[in-house]
Order: sequence, then structure tokens, then C-alpha cells
Amino acid sequence: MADNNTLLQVKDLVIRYETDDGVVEALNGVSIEIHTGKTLGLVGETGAGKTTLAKGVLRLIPSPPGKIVSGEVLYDGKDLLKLSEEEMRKIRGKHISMIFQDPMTSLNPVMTVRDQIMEVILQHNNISKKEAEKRADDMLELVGIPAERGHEYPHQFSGGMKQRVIIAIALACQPKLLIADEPTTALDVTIQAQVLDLIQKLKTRDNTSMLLITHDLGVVAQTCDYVGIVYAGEIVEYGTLREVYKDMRHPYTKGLMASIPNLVENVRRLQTIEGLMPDPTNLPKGCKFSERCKYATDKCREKVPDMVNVGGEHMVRCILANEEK
Amino acid sequence: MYKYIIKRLLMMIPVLLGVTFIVFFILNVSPGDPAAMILGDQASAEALAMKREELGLNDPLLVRYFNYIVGMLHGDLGTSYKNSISVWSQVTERFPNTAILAICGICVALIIGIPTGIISAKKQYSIMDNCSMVLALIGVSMPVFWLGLLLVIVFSLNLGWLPSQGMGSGGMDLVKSLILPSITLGTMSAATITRMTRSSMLEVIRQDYISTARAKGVSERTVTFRHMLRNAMIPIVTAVGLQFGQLLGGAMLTETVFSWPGLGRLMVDSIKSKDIPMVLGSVIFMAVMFSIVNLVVDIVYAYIDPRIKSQYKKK
Repeated sequence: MADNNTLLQVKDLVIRYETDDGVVEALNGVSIEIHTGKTLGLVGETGAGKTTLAKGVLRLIPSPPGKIVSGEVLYDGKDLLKLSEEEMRKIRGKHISMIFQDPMTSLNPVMTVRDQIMEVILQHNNISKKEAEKRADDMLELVGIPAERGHEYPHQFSGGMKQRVIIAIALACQPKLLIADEPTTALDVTIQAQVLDLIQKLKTRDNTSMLLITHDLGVVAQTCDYVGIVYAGEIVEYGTLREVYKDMRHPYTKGLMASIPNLVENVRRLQTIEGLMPDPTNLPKGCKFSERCKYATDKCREKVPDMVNVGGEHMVRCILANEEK
Repeated sequence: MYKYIIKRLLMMIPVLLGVTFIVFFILNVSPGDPAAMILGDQASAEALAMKREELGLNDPLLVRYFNYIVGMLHGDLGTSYKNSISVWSQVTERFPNTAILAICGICVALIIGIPTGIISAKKQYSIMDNCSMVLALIGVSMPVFWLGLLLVIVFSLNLGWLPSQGMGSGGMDLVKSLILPSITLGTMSAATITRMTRSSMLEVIRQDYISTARAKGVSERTVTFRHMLRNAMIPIVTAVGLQFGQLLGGAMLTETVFSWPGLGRLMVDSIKSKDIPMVLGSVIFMAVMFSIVNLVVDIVYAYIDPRIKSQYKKK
């Protein structure tokens, strides 16, 4: 599967949180692949393990209680999980950056925004403070904030502006991979579009790859090249945007798509997927979705189905994938 | 900012009026005749009456309170009943002794408290954390005089390393005399500061901006000090300020145990001998000190947290 274009490859990553109330099986053998310059969108409900995957790649899972149990995270051929903390720090911010979900709480409230951008620049480049300051100001201008505002503190910025600052921090060292964890969830719809455009623009400029985590299927359609659908800590469907959107095979993906409000037809009620996601401390034995799936048979409940290739790069974790359409 | 400081200074006036009123009232309803105390048991009834008139004790309480306030505004805190020395000169003479002890005590507390608190928070529920929390609990619950006495027994009586009483006569002597009382005072404050540092660090340790900082690839040391500690500082500064204010007000028990000639002991002695003006004067002085320390703490907030600074500017 991996070729020269592969920048990041995650293989069978298993992450658990060991709490007093039991072991939370947050991620159960997830494999993804990101090519240089391409964007992979991960879609799933809250609690499906998307953020855990993102943090797992950068080894930012708070431990305890989090624990990376097994798997590999290959970046440029190196397994990040085997690096020392010291070596890992050289990856973070320089090679792989992350944008967090909530801009309101993701900036340090007692540091000026310029200092916060400079911090990452100074960390990874051997340059003087003056130069770093200059670069930080350039970054601010690049994300559409006047450099004069650099001496201000986060509380003096609006949510959208804060997210721009966070983008500036994440891209200040021109990383090869950007992990964006629901970068627009906390923003107004109008600002969402602006922020996404900005990310797209900068990403194209530096040919950065991106792992975009979201639960907005529209955003995925607009920005991603590949899509992974995550359910209860597993990828249930994976493929190029076109493959997945045009020919969805997994009942969960179908349910997700069906739940998008339809503006054309006159619908009185929104479509939902019956039931709730299984409790991650007590996952079902077979297919995780079997409890909510209307096609489920006894066979589904026996063992976790394998990923099946259904043509091209399109993979589906469902025993019925090749049978019905 | 200056406006805010001036406003806060003005706000001290009602606080001090309140303090003087309460203390004045309590001391005057407490039993015992100051005139008899001054003149002794053998004094004749006429002499006592004359003395009472002279001290103004026959005036109604409110009139006496008013006179006292007027005197206070002129910088006159009255004269000691015991030895006719002005209260102001006695208090200001004793204050530097208390101040030096308070500063050393708070230094001990900071040196022990802040690092222990940080380590405890970073390694929550580890053996290290549990041990320091148990020690902190012992620290806050231990009676100060008891710790003082134990230290005296071990280091002065048994080992004979350090003096147990007084301030010595300057230089090395003073330094040596400071050690035991500072540790006694510092231990209790250290326990409070440790607990405050730990809980306040735990509050910021899981904040999103800490993840952001880690994602930048900065070292754990930078994350701890630049990102966590600075944000955890407000409650810590509050705790340190309160502790320091109390210490400046004279640590009565510690000063008594170590015969330290500070404000606290002056007050204890004055209470014992019913020297009302002296007690009143010391209490007011302590109240002023406490208010000033609190004001300084509030100003320090502005330097730690820009959000507070911008609020001050608006006022």
C-alpha cells in the first residue's frame, strides 16, 4: 500500500484509556495513510476516537490514563512510537503540527500572540530573536491579522481571529503534515468558510499534507482527497472522496449521509441512525455497528469483520460490502 | 492603573475605621480598670478618680472613640498605660524585627512550598505526591508553638547549634537566631502554599493551551514554567500574600516561643497587662500592613494576568 508518496502511515494503532471505571477502548487497530500534499478527512461521531488518533500520532495522549498499546506510526519511514521524547519534540511543530478544536482555550492567555508564534519558530530554527519576531509578524500578516496586533493578548481577539493565530502557530515552521482537529467546529458558519479557505490556501502554498478531523460531511467534500469513516475506534470505510461519496458501502456511512438535511425534498423529520454508539468500556464482540445496523445478522455479531477492498482504494469493514448495494 | 491604586488606598479608610471601632469597643467592655492597673492596688479612691478623668475614661464610649480617631489622624496612637511611652514609637521600633522574621519565614515557605506543589501536581497520585500531601496536612495541622518547642529541644538544647531565644546582637548572631523561628513560621505557610500550588497547577495542567504548547515541540520544562506555572500563579500569589500579611502582623506564638522582640510579642504582653492603647495601636498597625500586602497582591495580579490588567484600566 505504501509508496514513495506516502508521508504518514498509521498501522493497527490501538490506544486505550485505563480509568477506574474500566478500560476505555478508544482506538482499536486503526490504519490510515496520508500522501504528500493530500488531505485525508476523518469523519465520525463525537467519541468515535478521532481526536485520540490525532493526538496519538503526535504522542500527545495524556498518560496516565492514556496508553498506546500497539501499532506503528510511520512518518517518512521512521516509527514515531519508537522515538525518544527528545527526538519526538523535534518532530512536533516542525514536521507535524496540530490545530486544536477550540480556539477559545487553545492559546495561552498570559502570553502575547506574537510570543506564542515566536516560541515555535525559536524552538525549531537557530535564529535570533529579532528574526523570529519578523517571521512571526509575517505569519500574522499571512493569516490576515495586522502585525501591529502581535503585542496583544488572546482575550483581545475574536474566536475566528484566535483560530487564525493558531493556524499561524501551526504553520510557522512549514510542517509537512498538518493535523486539524475540528478546526471550524467552534466557529460561526461564515467564519468557518474563511478559516477553511485560509487553511487550504496555505496548505497548497507549502504542499502540506493534512489530516482533517471533522463531523461535517460538507467540509470533507469541499477539502479532502481521501475520506475515512470512523466508528467506535475503527475505520469502517476508507477510500478516495469520490469512491466513498459516490458508492458508499457501509451501512453506517449510508446512515451518516442520509442524516444530512435535504433542502430539495419536502421532509418533515430529519433522518437519524437509531440507537447510540456502543460504550467504549464494553464494546460488542463482533461488528461494532451491528447493534444499530438493520442488515445485521448473527454472523456480524460473532467476529469483527475484516476490511474488504471493493475496488480501487476503496475499503469497507462490512461482511455485506460486496453483496448488496 | 494608578487610578485603581488610589481607589484601593481610599478603600482602606473604611476598613481601618471598622477595625478600630470593633477593637476599641471590645477592649472597653472587657473587665478591669486601667486606672487601678496604672496606679496599683494601694491607690486611693480620689487618685483613681483623678486618673480616670485624666485618661478620659469618664466620657461616653462614642466620644472617646471619636477622640481616638482624631488623635490617630494626627499620627498619635496614644500613650502606653504601662510605661508612658508613645504607642507609635514602640510599634515602629518593634516592627522591623517582625518584618525580618516574616520575610525569612515566607522565603522558607516559598522555597519548600512551590517546588513541592509543582512536583505533586505533575506526578499526581504518585508516591511523591501522596507523601508531600500527607506532610502538608501534618504541616497545616501541627500547632506552631509545638513545632517551635521541638526545634528548640533538638537544635538548641540537645545539639547546641543554634540559639533558642532573642535576636542576638547583629551580624552572624542574627542570622543564627533567625533560623529556628523562620523554619517554624515557614513550615506552616509552606504547607498551605504547597496545597495551593498543587491544586492550582492541576487546574491548568489539562488545559488546551498546554496541548498547544506541547504540540509546538517545546521542552517539558518550558511547558511547566512558561505555560503552566504562569497561569497557575494567581491563586498561589493570593495564598502567599495572605500568609505574608499574617506573618507581618506578628506571629504571636512563634515570637513568644522564641522570645523574639516583635510586634506579636508586644501585643501579647500588652494584652496581659491590659495596656489598651498599646493593643489598639498594634492591631491598627497590623490591619494597615495586611491591607497594604493585599493591595500589593492585587497589583501583582495585573502583571501576571493581562486580562486583569485590562480590567483595572477600565476602572
